Amino acid sequence: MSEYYRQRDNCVWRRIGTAGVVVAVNGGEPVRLRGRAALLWRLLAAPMSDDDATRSMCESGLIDVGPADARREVVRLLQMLMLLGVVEAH
Amino acid sequence: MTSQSARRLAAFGLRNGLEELQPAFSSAEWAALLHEVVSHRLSGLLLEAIDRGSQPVLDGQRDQAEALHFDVMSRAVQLDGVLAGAANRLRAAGIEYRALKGSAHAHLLYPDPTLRPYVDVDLLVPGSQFADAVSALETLSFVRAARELRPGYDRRFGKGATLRRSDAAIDLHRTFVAGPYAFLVDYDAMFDRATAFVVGGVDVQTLCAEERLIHAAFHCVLSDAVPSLIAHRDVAQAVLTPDLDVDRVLGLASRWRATGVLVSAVRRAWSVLDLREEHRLVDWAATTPTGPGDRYLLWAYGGVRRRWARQSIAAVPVVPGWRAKVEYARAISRPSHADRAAG
Repeated sequence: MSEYYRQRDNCVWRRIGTAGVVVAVNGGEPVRLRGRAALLWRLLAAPMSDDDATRSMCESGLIDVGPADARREVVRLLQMLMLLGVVEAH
Repeated sequence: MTSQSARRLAAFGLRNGLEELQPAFSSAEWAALLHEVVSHRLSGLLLEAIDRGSQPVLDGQRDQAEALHFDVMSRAVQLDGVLAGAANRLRAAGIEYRALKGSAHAHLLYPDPTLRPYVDVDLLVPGSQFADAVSALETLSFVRAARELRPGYDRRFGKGATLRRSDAAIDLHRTFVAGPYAFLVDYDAMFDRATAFVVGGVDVQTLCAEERLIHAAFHCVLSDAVPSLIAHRDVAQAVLTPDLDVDRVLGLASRWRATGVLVSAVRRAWSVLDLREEHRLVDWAATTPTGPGDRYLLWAYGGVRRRWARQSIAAVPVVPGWRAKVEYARAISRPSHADRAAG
């Protein structure tokens, strides 16, 4: 995985309670993010490594597994968000 | 007629902060409220009131409110994409524009844009660049919904035009409204200064706080026969904008003969939303009389039927110059495509 991740500039987000909806402005359908995915998206308003993201997600209590499983889950979510075109890696 | 429940919801967060709005609704009451929430664009305020514990709900009602707001906000983010694309295209074509209402209100009037739903994109462009703006937006696959009444009508007399694409519509404005205020307001002055907000990484230009308040007042008082509750809330938010230059607002309203509109909008917003907030503009609105001229102008925008005809006829006295009055009257009474059809 790359070193840092962040929200792409060309995205529009609306909070809906603790969840939200996001879309890349140059096309694509709005995607609803809930729970862990929504929290990770919000965390990535500032550039963050996958290790830091894993730490923050665990501190939030939304991920309650061992360190290795937590990191795997965060990496999975990061890949999903990048596939959606709303997060970029540097 | 709006319910007291909907009006209290529309004022949520403005009056007493985290007050309890009302007891939980029965299923029938809830269904009726949701109907009003949709038509008055209050889904963000409803969900916020529930999540802050100010609006008790029965089982399943929060999920319904969230699902509704998801749908509304899914549309809003799509429209923001359209706005960002249009703003980029107009800037590339060297065309001045100001985003109106919708996204601009959501981003600049409200503490969180999720509180302000919207259903279309509104852009103000100078009359001198109106045709160029239409052409620029046509390159994004937008198609004008109706023809220009007569050559030159858009630039000189028209309120604007709607451009449609499969996924969205853009209301391209030359003026805030049709009728007398299409001629009384100095729309060129809207482009002397600007505020920007960011949508999808794009700097979008919009009106400054004082012009934004006057436009919110126009929309609340003149645009619709029955204005939505969110239009009243917009006025309240615009009045309560920190650092609003009240003297400048009053100066613009006076210069544009819009004092009656501003008085009416502020009085209505505070009355309909039952607000207690003190503000210099509220005191001013309560004590400023409206004269016969104000009442005539407001009358022009009243009524439910034949509103366009009433506004158009009422505009004739304020169209500058006799020749222009004749040309305007001719355009609204006999569009050139009607000539072609008759010929």
